[in-house]
Amino acid sequence: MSLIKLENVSVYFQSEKNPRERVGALVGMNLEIAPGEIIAVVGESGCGKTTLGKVITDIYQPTEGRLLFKGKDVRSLDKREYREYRLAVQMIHQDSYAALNPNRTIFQSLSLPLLQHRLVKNRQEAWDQLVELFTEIGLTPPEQFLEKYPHQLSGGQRQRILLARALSVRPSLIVADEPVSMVDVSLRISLLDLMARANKKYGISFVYITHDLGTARYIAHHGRIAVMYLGRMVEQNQIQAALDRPAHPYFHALISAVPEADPTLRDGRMERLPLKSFDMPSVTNAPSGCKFHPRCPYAEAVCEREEPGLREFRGGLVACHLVEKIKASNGNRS
Amino acid sequence: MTEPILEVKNLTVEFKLHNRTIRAVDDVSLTVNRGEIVGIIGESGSGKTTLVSGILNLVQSPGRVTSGQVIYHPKGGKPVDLRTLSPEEFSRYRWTNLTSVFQAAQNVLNPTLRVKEHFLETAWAHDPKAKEEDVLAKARELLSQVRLEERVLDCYPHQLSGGMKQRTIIALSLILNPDIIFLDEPTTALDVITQWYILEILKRIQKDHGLTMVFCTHDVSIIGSVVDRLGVMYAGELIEYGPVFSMFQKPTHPYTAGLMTAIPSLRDDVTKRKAIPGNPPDLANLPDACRFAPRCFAHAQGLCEGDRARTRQLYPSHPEQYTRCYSWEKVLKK
Repeated sequence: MSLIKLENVSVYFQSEKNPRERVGALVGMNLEIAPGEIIAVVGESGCGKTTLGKVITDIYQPTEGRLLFKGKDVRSLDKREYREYRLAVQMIHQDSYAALNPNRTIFQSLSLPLLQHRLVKNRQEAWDQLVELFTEIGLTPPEQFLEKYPHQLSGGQRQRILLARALSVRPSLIVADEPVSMVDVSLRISLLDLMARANKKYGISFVYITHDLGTARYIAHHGRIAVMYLGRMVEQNQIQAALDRPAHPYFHALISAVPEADPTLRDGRMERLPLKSFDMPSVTNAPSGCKFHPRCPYAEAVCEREEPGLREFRGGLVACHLVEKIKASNGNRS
Repeated sequence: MTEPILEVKNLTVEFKLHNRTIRAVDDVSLTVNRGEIVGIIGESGSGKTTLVSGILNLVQSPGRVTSGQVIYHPKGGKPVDLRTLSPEEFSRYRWTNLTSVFQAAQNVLNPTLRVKEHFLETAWAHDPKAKEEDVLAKARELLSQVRLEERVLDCYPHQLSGGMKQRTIIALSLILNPDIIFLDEPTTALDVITQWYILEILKRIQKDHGLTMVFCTHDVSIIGSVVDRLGVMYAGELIEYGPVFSMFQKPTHPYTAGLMTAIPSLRDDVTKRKAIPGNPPDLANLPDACRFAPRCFAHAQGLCEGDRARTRQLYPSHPEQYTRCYSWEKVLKK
């Protein structure tokens, strides 16, 4: 049984100016998360990836569709089951400074959920447990970190503390929303390694939300990737397969735009991106039919009329009317 | 082509805080040749932005340039030491010869002025007699080079997207035909596709105008596909400087080597990625040793004693490549 399942979930926000106008931040999303799995969700800003994370953690409630936790609709859970769900699904935010109370020491902040949920009997037990956890994730000496305030720590250390906070309640799923984009480059990998280790050791599932394909590939290289565009999922596949043979024209363009660090490979960089326009259409005024058609170099009349649904293609899922045709005309180069 | 355009000699920028002094830029010397793209990489707090501010005489109190020379070689003119000029004399060079595009450039534009007024104000500040039609004609030409439509001239900044604002600012910085342009994190906070586009534009402008560019960023992957020469900053010091190919293939400072393996990309072997241990240094509390010693594997293994005095100079390692690590030969063998 899947841990979390999204059934046809849509989230609409009402426009402030015109209450009758609705903005689809997330439209018709279907996703299943199995225990112990890592899923990377990628897309550009405004594609709905953060909204997806907030639906999974029940911060936003779906306007349409259902969120299922272990096969049960989250809305129909009783009080005890809902508590279990809230403990089981944790979140790590992008801005570690905003996510910690500046007036509390790290111990005050981190012991609260443990005491609240009676995972420990008293403060001493909470202290011992956090010391053990901090040692495990490399915040040593732990006593020193527990007594500090957030502003006394560096960004990388605060991000580790957020990971520790998420791990401390022994969750089954952690939603990590851009956890390393504000961390120094030399420290990013060590944080990703910690998450990968938590995944292996405790079987915790991760939903890794990012715009950075490089780190997505790093953490989820055995897992799946879901590509989003203007609130829709446009492609889903095993991550390496998706990167080697992107099916959707948008994902293909996105991969081509990723800069390559090694200067010897710079000549292999594409001279032109396979895109008609570089500017993302606004979510409030989304195009008809396939949301990508104004920028898609392959678009035909059908793309303007009908919005494609996700369907199977070479082991993955893709939402494109013309994918077979595009792949055939490209001679499967990409 | 190896005619120098800018020579920075022993530039030091200090910040006085309470009763301590922080050296954000510590005795940095480097030469930029005409027509080159020079990249400067470093983590947050390594002094990249302060270095550029120091060169452009933009350091703000409590910061102060305490020593050093910045020698600018105008085309066919006599070299001038920009540090000896009065603020009025310097402003003649700023924007006409040296110009800059700073980080968070989205906030550089005045929200109450139309784009066209930005162009006119800048031009008139340097030549009050410039004709409006001439300036606007030039502005239109520059905007078309960054692939923006003419109507942008009549827009207010809030009507433009982030990528469009960034392109507007690049066009604006070129209005007075500068020789050298400083770009501080020009693509941070932009989406991958927009980033690709801006890099493409910058490379083309550099070719067409024969501009010299100094490119500061924390993102090593964009450096590799753009620059000719690369400088690495750590804790206020320039620790390695050299041609980009040799810097990538044969880095001779352990920090550079660490950075190159710390960035996950889309093509390489995931298992070869490794983080640099430890945390970035606190500039107010630096070790009395090599600045990198606490994180250096050579120091940890006892290969190098990390003598502070011996890291006060740069050592030639490969042709045109200089490193601050005096044990670089031992390090390279590892």
